[in-house]
Amino acid sequence: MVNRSRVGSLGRIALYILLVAYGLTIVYPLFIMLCNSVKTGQEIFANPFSLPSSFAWDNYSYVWSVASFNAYLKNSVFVTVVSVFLVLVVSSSAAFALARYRFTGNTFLYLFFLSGLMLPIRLGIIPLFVLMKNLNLLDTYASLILTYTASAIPFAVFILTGFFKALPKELEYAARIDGCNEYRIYYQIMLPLVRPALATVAIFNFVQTWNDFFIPLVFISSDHLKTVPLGMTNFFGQYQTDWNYLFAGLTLATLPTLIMYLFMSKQFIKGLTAGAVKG
Amino acid sequence: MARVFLDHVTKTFGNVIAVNDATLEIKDKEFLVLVGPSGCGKSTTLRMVAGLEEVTNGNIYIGDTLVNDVPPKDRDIAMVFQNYALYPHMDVYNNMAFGLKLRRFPKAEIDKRVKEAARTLGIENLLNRKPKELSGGQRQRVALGRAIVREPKVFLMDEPLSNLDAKLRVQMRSELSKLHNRLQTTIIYVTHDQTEAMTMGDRIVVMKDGFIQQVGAPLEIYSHPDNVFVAGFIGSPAMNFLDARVVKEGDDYYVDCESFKVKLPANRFERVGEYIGKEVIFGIRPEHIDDKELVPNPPADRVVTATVDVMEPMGSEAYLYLSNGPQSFVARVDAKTRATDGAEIQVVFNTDQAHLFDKKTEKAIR
Repeated sequence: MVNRSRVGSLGRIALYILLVAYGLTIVYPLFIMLCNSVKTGQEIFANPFSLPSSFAWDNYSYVWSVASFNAYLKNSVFVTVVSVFLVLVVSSSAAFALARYRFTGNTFLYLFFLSGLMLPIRLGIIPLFVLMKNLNLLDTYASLILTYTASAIPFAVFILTGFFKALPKELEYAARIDGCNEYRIYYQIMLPLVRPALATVAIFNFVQTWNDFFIPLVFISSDHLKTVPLGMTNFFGQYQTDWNYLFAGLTLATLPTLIMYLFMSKQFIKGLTAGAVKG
Repeated sequence: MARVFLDHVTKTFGNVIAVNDATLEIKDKEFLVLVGPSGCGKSTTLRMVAGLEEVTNGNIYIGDTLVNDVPPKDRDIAMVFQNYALYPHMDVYNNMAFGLKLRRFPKAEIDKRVKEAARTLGIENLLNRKPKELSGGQRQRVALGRAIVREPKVFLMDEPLSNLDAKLRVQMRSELSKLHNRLQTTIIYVTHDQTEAMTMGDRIVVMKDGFIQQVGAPLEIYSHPDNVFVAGFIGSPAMNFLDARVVKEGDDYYVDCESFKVKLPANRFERVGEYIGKEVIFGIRPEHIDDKELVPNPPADRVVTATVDVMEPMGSEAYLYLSNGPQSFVARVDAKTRATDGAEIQVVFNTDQAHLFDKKTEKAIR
């Protein structure tokens, strides 16, 4: 007994050391990014890893207005929010039907959705490009939103179907007797109960969409439609790179994701671990 | 209020027949209990009345309306489920008010009904809580409350007490009976627990493998079971069944259980004459076998010597697990018995209360 608890506390210390080390590897680059975002270009080259000797806040104002970061941010927010919203609406209703109704082709449809998980969307970029061109959607928000939504649906349907299936049948019965039609059962009874799963899907897709560089690179050519990751490339010149502006821009770009995590991390963890333990 | 009538109702799932040609009338204001082992079709029957399962064949009437194609919400029923099925994201008040809100009742009326039901069930102080903050018994009350506020014609209850602990179950049993007296509505109650069926039902329907075995008042079923299954299912501990032959000596009939025989009463079994020399199943309840020492004037032709394999004292009474030759049986006797494990004692078979069943059809011989 005594021995075991001693081993336990030693193990615990080791675990904490590991976790702290891991935490540092995540936080340190962010910290360097933050430091460098308020240095001047020369200072970054002189002391890339030191604390800033003075605060050059005008990096931010330059990035925000002169480098039209505000426009990129608006684009990114719009595209991300709309895609995530569409993914949630479409996938949750598909998952609800797949999980709660018996009909011929149910399993086939479910597997069809899942097969999308096996194909990375980037593999299809050439046909996608041709498709967007034919639809006259190149260089529009729609090209991004449609691609993001479609590519996120398989994962979302996979997660949500599992959650919907886990809800007891009696809840549906009770709601039906209480006077709900199918639509109301979906949005007033079932949907609130899979909120952790919705949060998981939302965060997961938010981060992916927000950080994506490749799709806008291919589809977007007008400067005023660029998203943040694409806009960042303006700071990479052929002959020189404006590191101070780049770091300021990156700091701004990281903020929404951080805020999202802070607000939804509890739901997110619930969603990831639910089903792992009964009850 | 309303009667419910099932007219030759059958339900199949693929090749499986869940309910087979059930005809059953539930009278207005009756407390009817459907009882049987799991998979006997009792819950399916209830769900068909609720409209949650479609009827494969036959008709269901609530009141005088044919409801085969009426959706659940328009059948004027309320249902209580075994796992309560409370909406986890709504507080108690809204759980109870939800059905009324959907039916667009005025706010004041909803409020009045919810508060009244809450008072009846003693859950007034819980109205702002979420289901997960409630104990099992409290959830059960909320589930009942949700049904009560609707003031439906028929209550359907699907094993509502099965998830409660034993003590609470006994308490809720009597509360449900009281509630039925006060509400004066038709209740169809499904359970696998024969004690619940016996204590609560005005009438009991015993089901097995989709077939209705017997319908009747609790005591009627207890004392006149139609077949071996009903006899064994109702009553605890279960009835003893002994392989036997009917023999006639002089004018008297006996059951011969190989190593012993006991006399049958003169007028209990009219058709016993047809079974002379034939094999039958002799059924006798444990409470109808008594320790000879505790019987004032034991009739000599019904006394059997038996070995006590195990003696289980229950406090007020004792169960004796007895054997005689190839036969073994249980007796339920007064706690005063002096029988001990391994002892040889004499017991009296009260054959006035015994049953005979046809070996082949397992139907009662009367």
